[in-house]
Amino acid sequence: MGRYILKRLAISVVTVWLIATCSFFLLHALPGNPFASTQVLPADVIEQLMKYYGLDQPLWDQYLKFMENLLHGDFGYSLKYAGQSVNGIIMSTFPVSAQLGLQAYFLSLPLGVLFGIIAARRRGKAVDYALVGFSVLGVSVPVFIVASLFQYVFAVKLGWLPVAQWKSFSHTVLPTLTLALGSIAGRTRTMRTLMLEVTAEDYVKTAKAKGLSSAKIVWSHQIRNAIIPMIPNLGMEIVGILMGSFVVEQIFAIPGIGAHFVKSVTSLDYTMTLGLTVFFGIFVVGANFIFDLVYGLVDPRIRVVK
Amino acid sequence: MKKILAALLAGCMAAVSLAACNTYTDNSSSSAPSSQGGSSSENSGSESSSAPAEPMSFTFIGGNPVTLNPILSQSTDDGNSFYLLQSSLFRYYDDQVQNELCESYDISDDELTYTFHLRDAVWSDGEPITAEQFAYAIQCYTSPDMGSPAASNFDNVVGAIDFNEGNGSWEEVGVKALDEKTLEITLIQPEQSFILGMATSPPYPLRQDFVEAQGEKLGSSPEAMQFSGPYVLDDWKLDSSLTFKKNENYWNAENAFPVETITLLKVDDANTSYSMFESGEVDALAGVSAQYYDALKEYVTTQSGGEGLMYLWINQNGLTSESSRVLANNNFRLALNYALDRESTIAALSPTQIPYSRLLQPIYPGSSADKIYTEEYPVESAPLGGDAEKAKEYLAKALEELEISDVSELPQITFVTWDADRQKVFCESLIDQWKQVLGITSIQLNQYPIGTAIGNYMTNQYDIFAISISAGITPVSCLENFVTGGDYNTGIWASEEYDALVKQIKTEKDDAKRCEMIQQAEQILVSDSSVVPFYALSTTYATQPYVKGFGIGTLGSGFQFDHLTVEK
Repeated sequence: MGRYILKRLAISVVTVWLIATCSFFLLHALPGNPFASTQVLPADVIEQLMKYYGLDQPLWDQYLKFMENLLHGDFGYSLKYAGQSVNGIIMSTFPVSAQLGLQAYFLSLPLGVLFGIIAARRRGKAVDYALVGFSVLGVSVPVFIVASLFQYVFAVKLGWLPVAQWKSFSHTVLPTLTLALGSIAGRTRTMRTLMLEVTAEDYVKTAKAKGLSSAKIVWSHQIRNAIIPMIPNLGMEIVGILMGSFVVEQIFAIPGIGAHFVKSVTSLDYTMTLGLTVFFGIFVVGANFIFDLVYGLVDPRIRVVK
Repeated sequence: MKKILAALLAGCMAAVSLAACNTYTDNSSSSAPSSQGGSSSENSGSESSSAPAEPMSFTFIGGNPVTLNPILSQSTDDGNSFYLLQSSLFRYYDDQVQNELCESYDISDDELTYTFHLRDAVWSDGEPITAEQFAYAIQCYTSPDMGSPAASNFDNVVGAIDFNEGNGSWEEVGVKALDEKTLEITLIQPEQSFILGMATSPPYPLRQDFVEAQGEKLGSSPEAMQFSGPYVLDDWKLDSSLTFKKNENYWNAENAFPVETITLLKVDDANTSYSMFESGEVDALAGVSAQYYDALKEYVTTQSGGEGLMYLWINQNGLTSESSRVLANNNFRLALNYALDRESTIAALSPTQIPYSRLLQPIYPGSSADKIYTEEYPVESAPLGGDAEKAKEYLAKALEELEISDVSELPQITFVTWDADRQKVFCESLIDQWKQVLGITSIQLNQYPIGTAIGNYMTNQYDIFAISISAGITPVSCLENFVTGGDYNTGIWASEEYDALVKQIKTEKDDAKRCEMIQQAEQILVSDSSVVPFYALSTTYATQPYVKGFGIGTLGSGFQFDHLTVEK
């Protein structure tokens, strides 16, 4: 097990290095420079800025410098936000996205699983149809429509909650609901299907024959087995949700990391884009690593033998 | 196994609750983490103030600064913050240059040397503001190592260009702190609008020890800044919100800037901005997007300050020799100009702008300070609703002069623009009007990514281009843009008469005579129609009924807060 972990760790480091290198050269291959925008700057001003930020050096030297800083965990200074370090921007925006993401995650996880179980248990009944209908709607209605609807109903008309911003728990309610709605719907469908699959398994029939109560069968036999295929997805989902939702953050004016992810690429903010890419590269690789281990713990069949 | 899952869950829950303590951008949470509830935006001013009456607070949505480093700042969105946080020699408000830190100044007889006498004023931390700090600031702006976009503001200062290009030393630049309270600036040639320029693009004082200690971090957070202005920056969440608190050490704190706390929010989504205004969460919107213009009509003010004009540029040295030959014909350009119905186009596409067909906006004084130039000195320009008859006449004349028998034989003319939806619709509507009124079908629209399109514009690779440029602070600075070799004339037209006239205007001292010459020059440009003004950019903002004194100045594009009151 120890050797396996070490090997996986080594592969992870190489993966992160590949991510950093590829994004560096791809990004610098894009046409244009970070200082060309709708505000037309004179050529000599651009030249001065390029020199100031060391962008006039050969690409290879810039790469070595980037790698050297990376080893120290330093992503450098943003080109768009003069004076802001990329580390600082990540430190201040990531926790916001993470809180929003985790709140949505821990709202959608139990609710989705619960709805799925209920729908499966009441298969073909009105409750089932209602929940399936809800999940189809939840998956197919775009986030920005849900968000605007919530804002209009709960903030403008009823005045229960604030429209936007990120100032207190009550400000987080609407964005959390918006973000959670889609995953509740998705998870309801997945869980329902998985539950229906295991209902026909032999061990369930055996349990029934042994005279176990229906609640006990669901709890100890069906759910435990149905939930296993969901675990690897949970890992990737948690990463995705932590990266921030650009749309939800924009609509609710939340100072999260999502917007930086999108805008830094379009404004060719090299340092910012690279910093964010590497940061999330590490995150995804790390999360995969951990969830692979956890998966092994939960399901003995895929545990590494060597 | 169950235990592990439970432990994982518990761990994640703990992470959630941990995160929950830290991430809110509540403006006052840093000083009072536990006591603030959801309604803090209304009350946040109360904790810091000892004033007896309820202190006023003001929250508005607008562009957020990219950097508050005055040396590297290049975004117009930074301006509002500098207006609040810093002071300079002069401040521009109430449509006038007002003395701020400069108590008085002397001008030498040759009008080249300005001596500024500073008043006793201090920074927010109590340190005195000195002439040396202004001199150091100008040194930073013009230094070759700083890459400051503001360097060109000082082009008329002796030695500044050489210093900026690395060919001279700071000692040779005509900026000297004679003593603690006296600053002397020497110009290359007399400049009538020098003081106006110092007020509209002001240099802000900088303290050398602090600037050097901060290095690259200067202006990146409240801790990396010093404040000489009416407010201090209390909190800054990048691209999200800024909180300004009144600076009690500001020299004029008792008489101006009555609002205690100003909060500037950034909200990207137009619908969210509108909802926040509707629900009363914000007191004003600094910009109103076209689709909410009607819904907010009763709250909206549209002001056309010196934001600039949108022009069509008709190139006499364009893409092909055939198109250049046609576009070099004055009657043809006039036909294009008169065929356009500016009023309907603007009403349909962007009702917040103002159709306009003259070069100079009604923001400049005329022969005396209480008159307005544009009212006193009319020029003959295309009517805002267009004039189809006249346009057809011009076209007929043009075709005759060009020896082209029919409009269908005109060569291809390329209208270049960038790939924004609004821009596309705007350009297509113009092309359609030329087709409807004049029957010209050979004008084609080419869209490029913004960087490429601007590159085309700067290197003259277009027949027709549409882009706005900002207005100058004086009529001369507007006219100067279009002289041969001017900032915005990349070679599309040339007129010796116009160039000579602009040169004369700069040295003419008599106001009435100067205005007459300005009128002549404007008439030349408008009649020539190589540069065709189309609409005036405006600032459209919405304020709640209880907000008074929120607005922009005639010349400046930024908001002014000097007399702002909020009586909820």
